[in-house]
Amino acid sequence: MTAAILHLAVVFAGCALALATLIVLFVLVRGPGTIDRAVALDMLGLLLAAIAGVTALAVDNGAFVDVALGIALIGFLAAVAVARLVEAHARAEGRDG
Amino acid sequence: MADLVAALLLVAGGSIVLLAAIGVARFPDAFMRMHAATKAGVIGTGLCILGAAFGLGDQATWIKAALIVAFLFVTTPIASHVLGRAAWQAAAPFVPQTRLPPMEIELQRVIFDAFPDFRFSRHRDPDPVPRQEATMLVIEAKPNEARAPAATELRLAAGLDEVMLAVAWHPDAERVAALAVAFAEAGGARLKILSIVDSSLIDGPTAMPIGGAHYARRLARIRLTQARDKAAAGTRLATMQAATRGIAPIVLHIEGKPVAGHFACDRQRSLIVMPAGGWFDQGVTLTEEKAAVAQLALDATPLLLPRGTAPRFDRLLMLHDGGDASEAAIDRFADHPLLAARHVAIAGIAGCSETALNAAASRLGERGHRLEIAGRFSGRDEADEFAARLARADVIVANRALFDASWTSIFGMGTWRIVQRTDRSILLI
Repeated sequence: MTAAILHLAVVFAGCALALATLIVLFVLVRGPGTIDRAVALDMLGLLLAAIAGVTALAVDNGAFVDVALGIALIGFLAAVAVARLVEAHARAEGRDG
Repeated sequence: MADLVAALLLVAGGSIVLLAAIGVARFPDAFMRMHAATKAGVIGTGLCILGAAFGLGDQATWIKAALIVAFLFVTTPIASHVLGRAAWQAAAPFVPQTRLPPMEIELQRVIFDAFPDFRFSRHRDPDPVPRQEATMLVIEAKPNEARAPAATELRLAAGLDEVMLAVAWHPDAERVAALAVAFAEAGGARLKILSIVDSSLIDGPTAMPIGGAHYARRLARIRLTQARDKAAAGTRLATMQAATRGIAPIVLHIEGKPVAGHFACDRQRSLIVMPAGGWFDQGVTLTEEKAAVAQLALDATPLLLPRGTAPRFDRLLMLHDGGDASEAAIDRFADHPLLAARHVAIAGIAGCSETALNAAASRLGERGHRLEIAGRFSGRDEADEFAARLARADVIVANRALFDASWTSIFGMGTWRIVQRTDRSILLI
């Protein structure tokens, strides 16, 4: 009984995460600005970590939690890197103009 | 049991992440998107990971899950801060309603877009709007140019003692200042400029969330600065207007709640001018409608609230409700210089009897005004007629108590509302 409920919950969470990923991918393409894309990328990192967690439960394999840890790390670094890039460009253009 | 908890956490986490994604797609500017992505995202992801740990249940997974959640809680605020900072520097647009403290000096804003031509849809963010700065407004001064359109038409048969201009921020403030100066010039009166900052409205107690006191104080400080600057700008404007006419005004600056004492003057030979729909918060807190209500409650007479692009003062329509307060006000006002040699009509409203109207009319008639009795308007079915009669006047003269008493009563929507709608100047006596 409880296993069936857990199965349903995993399916629900999987569907919600998939839908959320689609929406965030849409924002990643739409923008409209660079910084909006950076925000979407950050959100995508969080989403992938969550998906890895749910996958670990779905296939009953703890290794996917390690994947989640890795993705969370990289997602943070990516957000910081993109932000630094935007700042550096903005500063450079400010000096020029 | 652990399975049930895991299921609950997964459902909650999935829902929150989905909501966060919708927020990222739907919020109007980059800062709000960042807010949705990081705050809801970190909770949703954390719940999903915890759910997985509950479902798997072995020790190694628990340690890793705890690590991930701790890591998320440490890094996501940093990431969001860095992204927000970058968004600011890249001049990401704000929604127009955003209120901001001045930060221009600390971090420069330069428009930056890596893919300026790349647009997926026609969706566009609001264009960057110039923010309201807490700095002095710059007003162009043209000292040698006569710029008071109302001044040429204005004539006063008798002299005025004093014209007071209440400085309240309003789009029409310049025109109103010109009008006050013109009145002072035509009536040979001294001009007094009252710049009041109603600080009780700005830093008074307001509802705030727990822990919001610091920001509330900060916001109040910013608004107070804005209000002071606007009052100073309005005063400067009025002083310049006066200077072009060769009048040296008396300028008073007051902070605090405006009271009747600030407007003390000889009621029969003075005039207080104030922009209709302006208030002493200098436009910082009140909407125009609320400001109009506050003006109605202001205990200062005779208070002229000019409206329209070129207000005229030839045809006056006096309202009388037959009450004692209204009668006393008409009596007191009968000798006012503004009435002399003008076309004056008197209308009875709200159950004003024929005799009361005639009595008031004869009292005015004794002063030799060109007087017309405009009739009596007392019921809901006469509201249109009343509005039409109001529209034929230049200035509507009434005692403020009359508006209080018949606030909602006689015309179904309140006399004050009808009078406001006609867009005519109002003189409160």
